[in-house]
Amino acid sequence: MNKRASKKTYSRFIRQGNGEGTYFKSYTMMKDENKTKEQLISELSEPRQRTVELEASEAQRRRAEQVIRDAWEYAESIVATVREPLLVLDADLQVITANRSFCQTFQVVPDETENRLLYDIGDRQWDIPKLRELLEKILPENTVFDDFEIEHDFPTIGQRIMILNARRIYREADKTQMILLAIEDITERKRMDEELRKYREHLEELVEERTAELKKVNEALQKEITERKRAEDKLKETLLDLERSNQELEQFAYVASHDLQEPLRMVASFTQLLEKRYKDQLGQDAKDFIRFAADGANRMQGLINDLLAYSGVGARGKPLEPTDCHTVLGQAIVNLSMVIEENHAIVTSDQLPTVMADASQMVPLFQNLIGNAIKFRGEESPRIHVSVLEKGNEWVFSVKDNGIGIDPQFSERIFIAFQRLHSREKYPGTGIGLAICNKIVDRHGGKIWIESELGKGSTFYFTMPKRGGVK
Amino acid sequence: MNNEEKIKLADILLVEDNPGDVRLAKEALKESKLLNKLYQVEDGIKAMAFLRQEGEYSDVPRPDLVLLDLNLPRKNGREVLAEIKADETLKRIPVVVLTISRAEEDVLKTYNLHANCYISKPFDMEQFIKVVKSIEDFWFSIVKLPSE
Repeated sequence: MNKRASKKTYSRFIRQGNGEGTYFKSYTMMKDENKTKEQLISELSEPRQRTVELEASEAQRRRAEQVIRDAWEYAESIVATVREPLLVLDADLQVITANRSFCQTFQVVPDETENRLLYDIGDRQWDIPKLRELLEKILPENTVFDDFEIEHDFPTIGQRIMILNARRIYREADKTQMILLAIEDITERKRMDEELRKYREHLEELVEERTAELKKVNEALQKEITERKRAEDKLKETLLDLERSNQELEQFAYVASHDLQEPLRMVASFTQLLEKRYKDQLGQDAKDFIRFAADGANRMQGLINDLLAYSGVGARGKPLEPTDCHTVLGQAIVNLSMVIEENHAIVTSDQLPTVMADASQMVPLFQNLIGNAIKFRGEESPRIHVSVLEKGNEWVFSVKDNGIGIDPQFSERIFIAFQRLHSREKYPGTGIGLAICNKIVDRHGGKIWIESELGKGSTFYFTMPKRGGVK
Repeated sequence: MNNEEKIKLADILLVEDNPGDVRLAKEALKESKLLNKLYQVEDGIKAMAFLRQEGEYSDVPRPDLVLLDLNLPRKNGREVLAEIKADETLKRIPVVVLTISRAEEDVLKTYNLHANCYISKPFDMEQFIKVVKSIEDFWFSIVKLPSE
C-alpha cells in the first residue's frame, strides 16, 4: 500500500462485444504519480464495473440464444415426430423442410426436397392445379385455410385423396414468410366412409323391405285377430244359447214329466179298479191283459218320477248355502229308516264339514248312495261308512260299503242315466239314481267316481269345492 | 135304536176338477163302511159358494169334511184353504188337502196354511182307497166333531 504507484504496467483484458464476436482489448494503465490511490481505484473500478456489466449481458445473451435454440429444436422435433406429412415452404413455395413422414409417404429423399420448388419435387407429383389454387390464390387471402381436399393420381402412391391444412407464418425478425402445409391421406377413410354409406343405404333398403314385410304380416295378424275375436264372440254367443237351450230343455222335461203324471195315474188307477171290481167276471186272458197294462203304467210312472228327479236337479235347483253335512246325512238316513232297519244296516260317519250346497239336493245325493249300498248288499248286513278328506281347496267325500261291488270296466257306465247292470227282477230300480248323483255333484262344481272290485264292496267318492262353484 | 140311526150320515165335500179323480174318490168311498153322501164341486169359487150355502147351493148341508184338491181352476186350493180358515163359521170344518207332490205340501206350509191333514194322491188305487178309508175312520170313529 504504497502511496506511490509503481511503474508496473497493468494489463487488463476487457471483453467487448457487439454480437459479432468478442475481442479483447488490452488496456494498459500508465503509472501516474499525481493521482491519489482513491483516484486510481475509482478509475480502475469503472472498467471493472463495465466488465461485470458486459459479462452479465453476455450471459443474458447466451441464455437468450439458448432459449431460441431450444425453441427451434422443439419446433423441429415436433415437425419431425408428427405422423402426418408436413411441409414448410418459404414465400416462394420452395421447400424449407419436408418432415420424415412426408418423405416416407411420398417416397422422396430429404435432399431431393429441400430448397426445391414444391411443384418440382418427386417428378412433379405436386404440380396439382388445385394445389396451386390453394397456395397462390386462397392462402394469400387468408392466413389459415383448413380442410382443403385434393384428389390426385400420384405416380408413387396412386390415386389418393388428400386433405390439407395450410397456414401462413410471418417472421417478424427477418421479415420473411413461411407456409405450413399439413397433409393427411384420407383416401382410405373416404373409401370406408363411402362403403359405410353404401352399407347404410343397403341396410336402410333392407329395413324398408323388412318393415314392409312386417307390416304385411302385421296386417294379416290383425285380420286373424279380428276373425278370431269374431269367432270367439260367436262361440260365447253360442255357448249362452246352448246354456239357455239346455235350461229350457230341462224345464220342459220337468214340466212335461209333471204333466204326464196325471193321465198316467188315471190309466193305472182304473186298470186296477177294473181288475179288482171285475176279477170274478174276467177270464184269465182279460186278467193278463189288464196286468200287462197296469204293469206298463207302473213302469211309466217310475220313469216319469225319475225324469222329474233328474231334470229337477237343474230346473228346481236352489242357490248354494252353507250346509251342515251332518244334517243332510241325518235326513237321508231318516228317509231310509225302513230299509236300514229291514236290512239291519249300520251307517257311520266321520266328522263332516259344512259346505256350500243346496241342501234339497244333498239329501237325495247321500240317500241314493246309501240306499244303493244297502240295495246291492252282500251276505253280511250292510256296513256303510261316510268320511271326508281335505285336499287342497276341495273336500273329497267317500261312501264305503261292504256290498257286492262293481266290475271296474263299468265304473263310468253306471253314472249314465238308465244304465243298469242287473236285471230288474234281481234288483229293482230304473238306473237313474247314480245319474242324478252325478248331476247333483256336477252342479255343485265337483266330480264323482267309484273305486270297486267285484265281491269286495265299493267306495263312491265325490268332491265338493270349498267355496261353491255354482252352476 | 138301530145302527143306522146311530151312524151319522157324513156329508163330504169333494173339491176336485179331475173327473177321473172324482170317480176314484167315489169308488173308494163306496168301499167305506161308513155311510156318506158325497158332494162335488169342480173349482174353488163353487167350493166357497157351497160352504157359504150361497146361490145354487142354498139348500146344501154344511159338510162334515172337505177333501180339497190343490190344483183347481179359477180359485186354487190354497186360496180356498186360506178362506176357510179365515172364516169364523167355516174354520172348524176339517180339511184334507189332496196333493200330488211333497213340494205342494211344502208350499202350503210356507204360506202358513195348515190343512188338518195332507194326503198325496197316491198312484195306487188300493192306496187311495186305504187313504180315504183312514180319513173316514179317523174322523168319524176317533174324533168327536163339534155338533152344530
